[in-house]
Amino acid sequence: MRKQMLEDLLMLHGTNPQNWPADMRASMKTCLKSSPRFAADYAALARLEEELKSCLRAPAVPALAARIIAATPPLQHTYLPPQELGGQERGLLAACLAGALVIGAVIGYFIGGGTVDDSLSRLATAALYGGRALI
Amino acid sequence: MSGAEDKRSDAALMAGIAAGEQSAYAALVSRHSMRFFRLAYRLTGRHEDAEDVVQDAFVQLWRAPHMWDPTHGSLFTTWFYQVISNRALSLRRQAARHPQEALGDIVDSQCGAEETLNAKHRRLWLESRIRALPERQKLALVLCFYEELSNQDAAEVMGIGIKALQSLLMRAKATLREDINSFDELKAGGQG
Repeated sequence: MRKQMLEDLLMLHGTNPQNWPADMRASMKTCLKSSPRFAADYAALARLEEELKSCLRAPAVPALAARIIAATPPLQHTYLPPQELGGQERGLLAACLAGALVIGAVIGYFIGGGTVDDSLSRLATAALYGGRALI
Repeated sequence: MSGAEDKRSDAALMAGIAAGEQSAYAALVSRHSMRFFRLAYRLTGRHEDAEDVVQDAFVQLWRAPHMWDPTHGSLFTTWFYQVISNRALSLRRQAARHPQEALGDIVDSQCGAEETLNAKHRRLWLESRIRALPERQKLALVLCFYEELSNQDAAEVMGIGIKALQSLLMRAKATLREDINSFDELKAGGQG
């Protein structure tokens, strides 16, 4: 039973003693010296490992990374909702909107003959202060 | 894009990619593309398919970096092994449904002059036996033996427990060992 377990461990972890479970390493080394069957298993597995190493060797692919990078499209920058903008960006956006409103109000004032509706006046003031006056 | 010398960790590069930083993406691709190409090649058996698998996976990663969630505890490489394995095996399954396209690379990956005809014949035959293993056994063998992942990591990539992985690995090795014995017996019979 124990011998079978050691054989299973050998099959599982391979022939390199460094890969054997630390608590079983000494037992496996002893068994390797004392059991011809275990030694034969070891030799067969060592041969299999050696042959497997020569198989499935991937070919070299020069400039694979460069080709992947070249094939990657640039990100499509999409609209970011206000909550994803930083404080500085939010301030800039508010200032632009306020500026546009103020310019609109001034133009409207002159076109309308110098009379400004009270609500428009309040709106322009609100815009000037980044929307805080509306709250 | 450039950044092959970037010393940041994979997780830091992924954070950069999530922020749209192209140099982080370039560094990650430069660091890992060949490793994942080797895995894809061993699973698909075709050079072009392997390249496509790796390229598509990285492009997808660039578009949707949040697919990797570091809070789940797995390393980027473990997660990406999973991505590549799934894509490669899926492609392999599709190819198997169209046998005329599933011949695989017949090209010899290492036909050096030093390799004797006998050794070459034996190697090609063994490669065919590895490819003929059941999918899960082959993946376990490739991850543990060729990619040298720990059993724990390989089990995580495959989404199975360690016992199940060990069982697959042992069955794969036992099958291949029997195959080699059969090959030797046939050869001995042919010579006798």
